[in-house]
Amino acid sequence: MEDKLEAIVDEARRLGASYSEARIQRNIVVSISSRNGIPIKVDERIDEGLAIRVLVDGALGFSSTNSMDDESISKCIDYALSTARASSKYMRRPICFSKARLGSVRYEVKEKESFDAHDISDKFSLHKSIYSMLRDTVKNVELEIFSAEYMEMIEEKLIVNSDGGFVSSRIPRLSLRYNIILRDPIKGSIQRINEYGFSGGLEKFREQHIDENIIEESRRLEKVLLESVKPPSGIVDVVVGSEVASLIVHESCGHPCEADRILGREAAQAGLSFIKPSMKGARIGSIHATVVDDPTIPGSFGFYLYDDECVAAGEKYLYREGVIEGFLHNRWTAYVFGVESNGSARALNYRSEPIVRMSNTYLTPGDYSLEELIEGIRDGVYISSYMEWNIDDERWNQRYVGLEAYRIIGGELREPVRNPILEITTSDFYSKIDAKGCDLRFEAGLCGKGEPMQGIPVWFGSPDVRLRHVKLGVHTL
Amino acid sequence: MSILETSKSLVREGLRIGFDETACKLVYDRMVMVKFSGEPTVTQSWADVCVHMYLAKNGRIILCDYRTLDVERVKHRLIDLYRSASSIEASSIYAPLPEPRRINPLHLVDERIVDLVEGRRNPIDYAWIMIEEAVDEGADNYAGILLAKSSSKALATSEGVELQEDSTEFECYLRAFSRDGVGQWSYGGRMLDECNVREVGRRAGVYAYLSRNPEPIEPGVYDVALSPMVVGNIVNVIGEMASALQVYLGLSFLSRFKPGDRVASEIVSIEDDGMTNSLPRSTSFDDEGMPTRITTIISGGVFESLLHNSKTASKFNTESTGNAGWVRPEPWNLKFKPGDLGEDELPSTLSDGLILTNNWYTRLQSYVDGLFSTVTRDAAFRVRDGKIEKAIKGLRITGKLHEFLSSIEHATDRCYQIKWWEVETPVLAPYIVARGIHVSKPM
Repeated sequence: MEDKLEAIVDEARRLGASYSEARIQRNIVVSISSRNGIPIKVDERIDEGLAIRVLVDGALGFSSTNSMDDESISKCIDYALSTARASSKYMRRPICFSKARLGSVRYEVKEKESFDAHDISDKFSLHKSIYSMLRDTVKNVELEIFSAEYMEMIEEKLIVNSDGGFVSSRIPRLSLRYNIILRDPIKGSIQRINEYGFSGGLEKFREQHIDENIIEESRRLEKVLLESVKPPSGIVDVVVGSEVASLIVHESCGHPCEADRILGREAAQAGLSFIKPSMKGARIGSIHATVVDDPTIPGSFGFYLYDDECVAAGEKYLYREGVIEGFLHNRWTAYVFGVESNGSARALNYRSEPIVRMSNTYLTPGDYSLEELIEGIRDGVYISSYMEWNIDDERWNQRYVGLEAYRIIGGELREPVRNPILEITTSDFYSKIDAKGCDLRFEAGLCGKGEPMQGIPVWFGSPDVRLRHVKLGVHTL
Repeated sequence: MSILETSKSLVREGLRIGFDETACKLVYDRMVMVKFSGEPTVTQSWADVCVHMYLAKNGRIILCDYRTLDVERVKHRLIDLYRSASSIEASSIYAPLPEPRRINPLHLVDERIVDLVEGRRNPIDYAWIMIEEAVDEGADNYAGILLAKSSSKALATSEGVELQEDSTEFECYLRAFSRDGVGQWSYGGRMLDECNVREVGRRAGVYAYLSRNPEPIEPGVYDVALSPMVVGNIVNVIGEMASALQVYLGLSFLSRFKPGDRVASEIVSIEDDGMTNSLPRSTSFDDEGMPTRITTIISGGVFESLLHNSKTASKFNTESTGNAGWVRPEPWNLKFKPGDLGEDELPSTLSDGLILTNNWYTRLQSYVDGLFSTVTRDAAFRVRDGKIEKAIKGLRITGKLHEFLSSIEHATDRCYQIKWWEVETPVLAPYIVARGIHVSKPM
């Protein structure tokens, strides 16, 4: 297969491409979905094909096929070249790729417990056991629905490009997404949708005790539904829990630091960035605002070692001590900014062009315990989890509505509060952090970007953080 | 072998292996997309075959998607899946596949789109027609896409369904910039009409120009006029929630209502339409071989029907609406019924209000309660005494879906075929006017 890819790359060059790249990608996905401990369906998806990307006369062409005969491949090369050539007459600034140190490597993530080690019924037993434990746990309200989807995926890529890059990789991933609805005839209902995701094998669920986490959370949500009161609506101090802060970091640091977004490539879809090319070095927050993106974290959902342009991946500082330090680059954006690519080009499947993506993006931890963060607050709120969130298309004006949240009075956690609203600008969030917890935790998600849409696995992480003097909102409904 | 013959052979193979029921939908897609931002950023083309299979054994349901034409490999996988089927319990929504029904074929192919896909005409030239319209209206920059697609699908089931259909699809959208003004518009359809391409560029350009020098305003409660782009986004959420499986999974505000309940004002009628051939996802048959139709979800503000396949119909004790998805019913094309207001009359309905032309990122605090917010983007205007006073920016609509629907007072008399990144299911939508909407922003 490597020979075939090299031949494709050479052929595209022979036909006029200044750069060519061929990727064979296979994603094998199995998922099981259920409602209230009874299966709905099992899904199996095998997604395998060829992607070709070329630069011709300064224009970029991409073509893919899953018919691997010579004629189809030849057509695929031709489409990539001819469509690029056709668009070259409209180019103002020819697309160029930066020089990069490209890998010639093979790597894989080894599962301790492979997906084949257990049959479907073993995997489904997780749904049943969680539902059973939930029924035993939730006693004072109705457990209306527990629906879940288990997913396992093996992603295999073989990439060759005309600049000498060669990468062969195999990454297994698994996730569990669930939806819990608790209902009380007087208090109404509370709904929680959440996801766990890892790279690795079946051992991950056990090591992370996800069943116990879900049960413990349901116990707390029952209390929130029954006992919560209206949150304070004035200016208060807020401990933003790790889960919420993780998402804020993803949305208001990771996305605006994508260099292709800064250059406007996603302007009609995922939008622009408040960060302009000249803003490197500008202050965005307090000294506590340090955000890193790192695809090499073992076991992470966003794990990889080389990106889909064959560039070695590593730790990148996006904000450092409150200052905008760096962006996420592929080889095109790196060329425009006059830097080296930092290995951020990812493609979801063979039908997808590699574009600039986050991997595992996190706010670095501090040295406080959660108790110490709370102790320092006279009147405030602790927001542990969320459901509703959104942000404008420049990643500035954002909103997070707490799900599990508590009042803080005199340095102590008090009664739960219902749906507190943190509606804040990016600079306000990072400027108002005055202390960070020591416990860095990660959340899993599928991050959407690109056209056609590519939902790509990522982690986002943060410790608990304390914000001073925040105006909280309250649902007026 | 034709794609229908291949589908039939895979259905036979599934039965031979031991499944009680099988269905196979084989789809061959060719697609080309020009993406641009000031200049072409990439031109993408795809040639793709996908074998979708439904397999059932003693009430267990297995679905598979294999992106391959390697039939022998698919057959080999079916043997493994048969072993898996015996190790799980029956599905809670199992019901048998339906008998074949009479299907009225739809004409869904526009040769002009086939020419774009096959490279006989250059899609980039069409994109530039759209761009030039925006520039003529005052745009100084632009971004967007133009997509052309041709598809062939074949469906065979163990109940005897044997169907085939060819179709084309066209989509374009453009976001125009004029200094700090921004406007966006979109179009999706089965047919290519240059007038629609031009209109996308023109409307985006006009809104960009008119929305220059936007100012912040105070949050509060406002009367709002929403463009078809915004209506399309919110109706998408409602259409998805009208899938009976979403109700079954607790992912719909309609789970708190039953047919006959009032969920909106009298002005609100929302339909799903699978059979009007100009709409981009129209098709003559669904994945079970049932004929598509027009299904009224909300009629005059009253909740009328969910969208069903045979399985959810059995679960909800009703009939299929021709919206399969073997497991999940899906809307085809959503339509918000037009009213009798002229577009130029919109500002006059707002003595003190807002006009919002686009939005994104609609998210829910609770799907079952319909508690949501959505962020405005692009052109927005403050209206006083029936006249546009100034461009505004940086807002968010918040509310409960059924209360939002209940606040709608007017719809305009012309609808637009909206489809873009934030409106995945196409929507035929007018402008609407809603009263007393909560608008927020960071304080």
